[in-house]
Amino acid sequence: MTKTTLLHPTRRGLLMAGGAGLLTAALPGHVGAQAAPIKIGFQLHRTGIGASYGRWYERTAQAALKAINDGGGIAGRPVEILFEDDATDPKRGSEVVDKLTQSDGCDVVMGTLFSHVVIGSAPRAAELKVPYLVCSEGYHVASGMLNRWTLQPGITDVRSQIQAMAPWIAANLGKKVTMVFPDFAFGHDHRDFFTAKMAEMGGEVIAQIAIPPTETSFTRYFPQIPAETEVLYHVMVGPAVLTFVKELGEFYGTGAKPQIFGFIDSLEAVDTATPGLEFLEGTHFWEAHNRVKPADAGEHEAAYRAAVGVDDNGASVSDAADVSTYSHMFSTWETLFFLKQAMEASGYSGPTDRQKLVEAMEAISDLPYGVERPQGAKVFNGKTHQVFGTQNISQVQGGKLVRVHQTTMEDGAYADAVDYTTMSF
Amino acid sequence: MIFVLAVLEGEGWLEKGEFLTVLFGLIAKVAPLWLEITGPRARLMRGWPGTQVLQMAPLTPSAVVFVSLALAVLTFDGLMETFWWQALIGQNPLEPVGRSAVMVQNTVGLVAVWVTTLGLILGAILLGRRVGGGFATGPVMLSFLAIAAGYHAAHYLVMLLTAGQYTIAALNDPLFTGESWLGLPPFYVSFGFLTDPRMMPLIYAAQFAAILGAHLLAVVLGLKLAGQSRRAVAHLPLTVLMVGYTVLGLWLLSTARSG
Repeated sequence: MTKTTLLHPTRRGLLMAGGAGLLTAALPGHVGAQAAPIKIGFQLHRTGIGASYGRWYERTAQAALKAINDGGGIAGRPVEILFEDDATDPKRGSEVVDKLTQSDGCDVVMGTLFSHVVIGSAPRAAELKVPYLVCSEGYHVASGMLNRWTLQPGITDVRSQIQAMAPWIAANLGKKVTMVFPDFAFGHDHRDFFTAKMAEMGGEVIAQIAIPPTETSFTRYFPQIPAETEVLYHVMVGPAVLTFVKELGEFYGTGAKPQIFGFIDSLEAVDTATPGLEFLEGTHFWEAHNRVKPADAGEHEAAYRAAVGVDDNGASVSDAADVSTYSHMFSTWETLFFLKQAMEASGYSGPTDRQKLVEAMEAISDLPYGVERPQGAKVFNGKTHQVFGTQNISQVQGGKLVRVHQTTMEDGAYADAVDYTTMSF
Repeated sequence: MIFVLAVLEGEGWLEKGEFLTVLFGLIAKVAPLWLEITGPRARLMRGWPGTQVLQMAPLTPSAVVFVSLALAVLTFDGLMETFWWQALIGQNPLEPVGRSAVMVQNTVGLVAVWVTTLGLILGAILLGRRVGGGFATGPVMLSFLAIAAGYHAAHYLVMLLTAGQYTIAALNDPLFTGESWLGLPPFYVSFGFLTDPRMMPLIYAAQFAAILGAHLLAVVLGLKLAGQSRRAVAHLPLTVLMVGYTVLGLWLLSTARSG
């Protein structure tokens, strides 16, 4: 007699299971065959270094998708998003753009955060002539490094963010700044853009302390901080951030210390009330979108938080310890609404209208505050393919980030470095 | 492919040719519960972890190599995320270039770890045999099944707790129609426990217990499976290797990692 268990199936059993699988696979096609939807390919960092961002990007995009479909879709057509993992890998990213466009028939591709994946994928998007809307903050779009098909309409770039901080820091925290940053491109952007803008504001960066990225302890670097430092500007990122803050606290102890300013990138998805971060009390952070709902938040803030499932502290409604990447994830929401606006303006009907769609995006300028843009009003620069907006400075008070200042659009403005509209498609 | 080969090759193929079936079939031998199937009857058995291992036939040379690969894969999967490895292959752990760019380095690393693992295990067994007799490779190698099981549990615990949520969500609503096949209410995949200072020590403790428990079990099994030795010192090489391996496993779980 033949043994028949899960590990010892018969041929007939296998054939039947396979047949059932084929039937199941045929089901979705039948269910979704009512209308021709607009298909948006989402290049998602579901695994790899960007996974914690990717999870919130997906959740926010899903919420925006629901809001758009509940409101009648795009030009009356339903909208679908196809999420595809790129493993935060540029080579895989390029393949994902290819797959979403060629195999899955997506109308556009969007959603990429990490710069190296954007830079690795954008050339393929241009070859395929598919609009590629990134949510990355990188200056690589506005610097002219990419192409006509790549746009960043949902989030300001890091150059704009950094320089928008300088006027307030010089006026309120101090003019003599020491910078502590990781010694690679991300840190160098901060070093270069902030140092230049600070000089313009009458301040001075008196020391630049570059820390090797593989460093896991920082105590030996702190003696390099000049005693006359008024402001310590730090942008450490990665697994060692908690150690950095803890050791900084041990270095200064309870004695006099400079004002401290950081970028929330250091602590995205991390609770500021985490034990070990007590030293951050009273220090300041840049935030694109205030994690803790400000008392004077805009009228659409509550609806946005409810749609994404985030509470007033910026954590998941189902888990107070699950802190979101609040200063970045709004970009997926705003990008989807930007896409809706451009598709409707251009009368987009299918992939043959892709060029027309990019031209319609380039023609968009004023983007007022509304449910489409919960982070705030923005201005899109069609020439540089980059959106501009306002930034926030928050102070840690009682373990929570409390907004103390909002920059103006002008604080983050800089001269155009490129005019993509003069380039061919 | 598995399906096609199973149809073509018949019932026995999965057990011999499908690596996951082989791997989990071997690891499952450590379980305290198992089914004994004789004819149409299935009996649920229970016993101390490793009871089944003691009743197994000695591992064949190819199974010895396979078990060492299973161990090496887990070790390297942990190792490749460490800052130590990233520094070795000249990568910035805060600005990783992605998996594709390091495929060659990581493949070489994996093979090197495999060769090292196999070499050290066989070396320790051989040394034990030289010193005191006994220590046949096939039987002694069975004790490493306990380590493979413990490493699996420790290594994939966090993945089970995170990716497992996606699996439940997908099973609950496999066609994305908003239905609830498992009868679960809509829920968000939640990773807050990863930054919870009360939860993380518990997770680390569970991983610690899995690795330490597995090694202790392996030592006990090793003692029983090594056969008659003239001198107790024959166990020293394998014991030293086990202690070193335990330390390595715990270091991998606790060191600075990316990804």
